[in-house]
Amino acid sequence: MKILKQYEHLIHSYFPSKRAVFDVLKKPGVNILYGETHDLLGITVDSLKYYLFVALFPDSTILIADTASTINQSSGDGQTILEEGKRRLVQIQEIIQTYHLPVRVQLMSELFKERHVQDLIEQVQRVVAATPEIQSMLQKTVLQNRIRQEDKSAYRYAAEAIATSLLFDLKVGPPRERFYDEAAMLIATALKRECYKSIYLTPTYPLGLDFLYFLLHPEIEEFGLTPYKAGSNKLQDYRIILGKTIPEQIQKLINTTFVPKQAGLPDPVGDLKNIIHLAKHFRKETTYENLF
Amino acid sequence: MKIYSEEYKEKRTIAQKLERYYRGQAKKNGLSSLDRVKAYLPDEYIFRSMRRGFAFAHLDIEPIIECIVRKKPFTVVSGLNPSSSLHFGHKALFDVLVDLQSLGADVQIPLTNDESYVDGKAKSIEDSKRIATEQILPGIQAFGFIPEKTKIYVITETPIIYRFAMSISRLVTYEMVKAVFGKESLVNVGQIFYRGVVQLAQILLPQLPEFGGPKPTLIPVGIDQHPYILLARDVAKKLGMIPPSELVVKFQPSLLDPEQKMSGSKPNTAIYLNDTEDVIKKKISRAYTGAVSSLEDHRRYGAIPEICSVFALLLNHHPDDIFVEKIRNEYASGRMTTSELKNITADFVVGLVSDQQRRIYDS
Repeated sequence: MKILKQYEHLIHSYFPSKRAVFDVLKKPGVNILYGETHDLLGITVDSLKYYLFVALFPDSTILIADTASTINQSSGDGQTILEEGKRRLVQIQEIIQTYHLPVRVQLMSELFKERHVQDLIEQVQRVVAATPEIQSMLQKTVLQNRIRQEDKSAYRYAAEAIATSLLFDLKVGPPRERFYDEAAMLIATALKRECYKSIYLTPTYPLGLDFLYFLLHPEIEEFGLTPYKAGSNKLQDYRIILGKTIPEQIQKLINTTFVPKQAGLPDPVGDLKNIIHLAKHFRKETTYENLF
Repeated sequence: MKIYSEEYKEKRTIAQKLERYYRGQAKKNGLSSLDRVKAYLPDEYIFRSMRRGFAFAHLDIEPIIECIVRKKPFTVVSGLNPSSSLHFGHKALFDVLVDLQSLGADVQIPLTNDESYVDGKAKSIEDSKRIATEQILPGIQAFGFIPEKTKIYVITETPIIYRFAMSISRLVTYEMVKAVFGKESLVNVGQIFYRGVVQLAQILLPQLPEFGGPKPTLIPVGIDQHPYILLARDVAKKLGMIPPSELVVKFQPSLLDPEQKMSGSKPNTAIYLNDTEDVIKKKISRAYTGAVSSLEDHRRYGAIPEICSVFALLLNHHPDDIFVEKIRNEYASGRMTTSELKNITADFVVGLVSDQQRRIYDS
């Protein structure tokens, strides 16, 4: 709890409320989830923020949603995505070792081999199919061009994501996940289960862009980019990708990034500074140079 | 705890009412506050009227900001009905245009003498043309526009406007025009044609191929003109043009009533840019202010600059931010009396009008 207060500046909001989250954290043996889908472009420094944040708690899992990633066709063909998931698993394990993070990492495809997980997914799907209100809530979580696909698959993607989350007490994610969580709460009630609570970290913003980008993209200002997808909004050239973006590029990105003149506006460099600060919590010798 | 006089409470109620009016209108019409834009914009792009709150809301101004920052072409259009001499209400708006021009805008100012005629404010078209050309045009030129980036034209002398208006007339029905203006201002067919499409033609003219084709356009307007901008945006889309952006400005208050605007047809509400020194001083001395009438109470409560028609002249026209802020604080605290404020303002306005007259004479 103390640690959460120390890093509260990384938190955007709570669901359903701060108090509910703190109540969960008071309970013994709380298990925490951070799940991320992926594209083929690598791990961003913004994902690192989440790995480090969940590592502040004693029982956390980083879930690589490889099967969910295959559903998003723009990320590449299914097999390639699954292989990328495995590569990502190895890379995250390296990160865990480097920073001595007390977290476990798991592939969604492995988790889904368990019978009780499959059962839960089916239960969630049944609730979704019977509840138009939940269907319309879930439609808000996907892009317009994927609504039909979700409808056809009986909301498999959303059901998998929600069922997975329901296995945990607390979930950490970006602010946009609130739409899922609102639906999850209704589903949990229908299933007579306790629903997890959520912590949303501050939005992820691109580097190397001036104030105009944010002024012209209010939706990015509000929710940010998808932290774990380097290619979110095709802005991979404006992200720091671990092991790929070289220090000179990073320097250039930082130097050309919008710096807000008042609080409350996107602060991409400030966010990076927070990530470095968080990394130092686990590895005292962390510097700007060795972070990447 | 201070116990305020009835007069002070009355003035405070007017201030709250005005604030609610602007905020409520912006919300009702789906306009955005300029606060978000100002938060992002580097100081060098925040022009005076935006800084001081005269321009307070917008619709889709972001592409214009992009043009300013990236130094891309854009045009600002603001028409003027030449039915009265130029006054400080006109000047407040023209200052916005001059500031936007300094940030890169091309400016178009149609002088809508045909509007004067169809509304019965000019005896004949010839007369309306003469007033526009001889009285209004030199006054506008004296505001300091960059000639090569400014197009001021008299509508009846600009045939392309009527050709363009006719060509878009099939896109606008009488019902649409009635919904925007109300039938009471559509009494004769001239008014219907003018309000229905001639105004639209003025707004969309910069996007015709003759003027370089589609480009971002900004229309500074009063809040009451918002429905018309929506109509213009709708027609622009149908023509494959870029929907014009809107910058909404407050009105320059009447000298007699903070809830009314300065009006050229009501001489006591306005200071004209050709008023003499004596007339200006007389009008300011009789103007409605933000202070209570008893000096003792004024010292105790202070004044309310937000409803003071005299302070509004400084706020919307004085070039020095620090000076205006100092006056605001002194007056609001009660340290500065109404008579001191009136003297300072009268001196400033007289100087400004005499400069304007000199520039007209010199040109």
